[in-house]
Amino acid sequence: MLNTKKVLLDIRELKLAFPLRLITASSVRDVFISTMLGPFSKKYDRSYFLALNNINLKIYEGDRVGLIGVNGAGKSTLCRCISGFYKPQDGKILRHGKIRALFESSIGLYPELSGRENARILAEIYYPDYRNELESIINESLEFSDLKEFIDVPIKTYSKGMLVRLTLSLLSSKPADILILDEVFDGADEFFREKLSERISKLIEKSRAVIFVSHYETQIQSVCNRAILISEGKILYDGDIKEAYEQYRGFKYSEDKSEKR
Amino acid sequence: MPNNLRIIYVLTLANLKSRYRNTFYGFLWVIINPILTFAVQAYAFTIIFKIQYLNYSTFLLSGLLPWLFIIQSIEMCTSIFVMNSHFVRNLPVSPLVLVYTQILDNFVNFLCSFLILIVLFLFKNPGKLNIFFFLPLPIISLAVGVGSMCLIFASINVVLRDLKFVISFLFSLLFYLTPIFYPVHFIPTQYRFVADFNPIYYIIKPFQILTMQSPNREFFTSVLLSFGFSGLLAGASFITWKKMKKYLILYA
Repeated sequence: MLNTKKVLLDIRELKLAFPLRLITASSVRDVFISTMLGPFSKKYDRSYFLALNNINLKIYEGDRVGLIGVNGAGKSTLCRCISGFYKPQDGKILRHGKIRALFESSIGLYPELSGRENARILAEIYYPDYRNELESIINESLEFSDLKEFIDVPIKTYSKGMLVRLTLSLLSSKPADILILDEVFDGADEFFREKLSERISKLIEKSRAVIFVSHYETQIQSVCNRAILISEGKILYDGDIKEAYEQYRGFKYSEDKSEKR
Repeated sequence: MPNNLRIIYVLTLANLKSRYRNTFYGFLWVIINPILTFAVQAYAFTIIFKIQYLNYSTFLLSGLLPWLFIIQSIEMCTSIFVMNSHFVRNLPVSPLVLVYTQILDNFVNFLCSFLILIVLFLFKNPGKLNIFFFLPLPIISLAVGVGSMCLIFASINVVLRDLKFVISFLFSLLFYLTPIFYPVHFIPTQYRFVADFNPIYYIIKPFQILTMQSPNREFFTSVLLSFGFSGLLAGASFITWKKMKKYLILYA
């Protein structure tokens, strides 16, 4: 059947590779020593690590896509490519809408400044289109964070959990055309996670399309209507969530077995 | 781009607030460093070494403050992408914002200490008020040159992590090779090429001529050379950034 929904994201033959030579040559001292030992003896390492390989993907309006896969499969790398952080070597990413991506659950930019001041800076960075509403966004988020008297205390005194509260309360304020949530519940305590999941659900409802990365099946089941299984930088399956998890389990089982051999 | 400019403004204010701890004494603490450095060097060279040079403290001031701005900015910016990798990897803003924010922060400190000392200088030399009109020229060139150097070093430091220490060492040597605490004519003619090939000197020289002499022909020539050098640096920083930015997020 022909899909008549509007395409918000169109990825064609995407390829991303990391040059390994930059990881190995990591100091001026190393360069100096290897040059002194023999300027022409060292071969230039041209090997690459292929992080994403031939990714073809369309995301439509209304899609809530769950990205699943083992650690290092390429989920976050794909999200960072979509957000424009990584520039792919090959392929195209056509974006028909604004993207907001949350990769970090605790962002403390200025330890010497208070939670309120840091929240203002984050709001300026994440909500440039809501400049006239920044004050109300900040106040509402700080209220939600439940940090109370700690709001006006320098964040260098915060625990990790408090910083997570501050960051996630603020960054879950406004919907986006394409919202990317990469393991956003990490670091939040149980009580706050419950409170936050309601807020995130509303955020997801209001956003036009969502890409959701999580290691928890229940979260993917409750949030998403489509799942993509990624392994070694390739898409192995794209479609029904149940089927995706069946393939994921089967794939993990066969991988574990081959490792034991 | 307009959003990046707005973020530079917001982050610079935050940097200044954070550095000054929201108080006047915090501000005083920051500008006390260049003023003390100036006072100690002036004492060492005029009282102890008895350097024979008319208006030596004015000469020292005109070279030392731009030098301190250069060195502080380079020290703070060289490892800025690595130190702020969470910013580079997670926030939807160009990483360039980090470099320019740090330079603006230092630039405000430089201007404050410079203005305080220039006002004191004008009390002593009331006839030299016209230097205020010409000061923006070397200051703009200085800002462009420093911004470009910082961007080059910060970009390369992402892949060569000990660059910060190498640069710090090289600049500590360069301090003695740059005519800052001695005038250029103190260098024997056969060694004058050391100053001629010193890029930092081209940026500092217009400040020295303006405060020691007047806005004469030599000043304008030195300003032109200074802009030429800053322009070259700006070109080099543009090329370096274009080459390195794709690696930035991978290795920061």
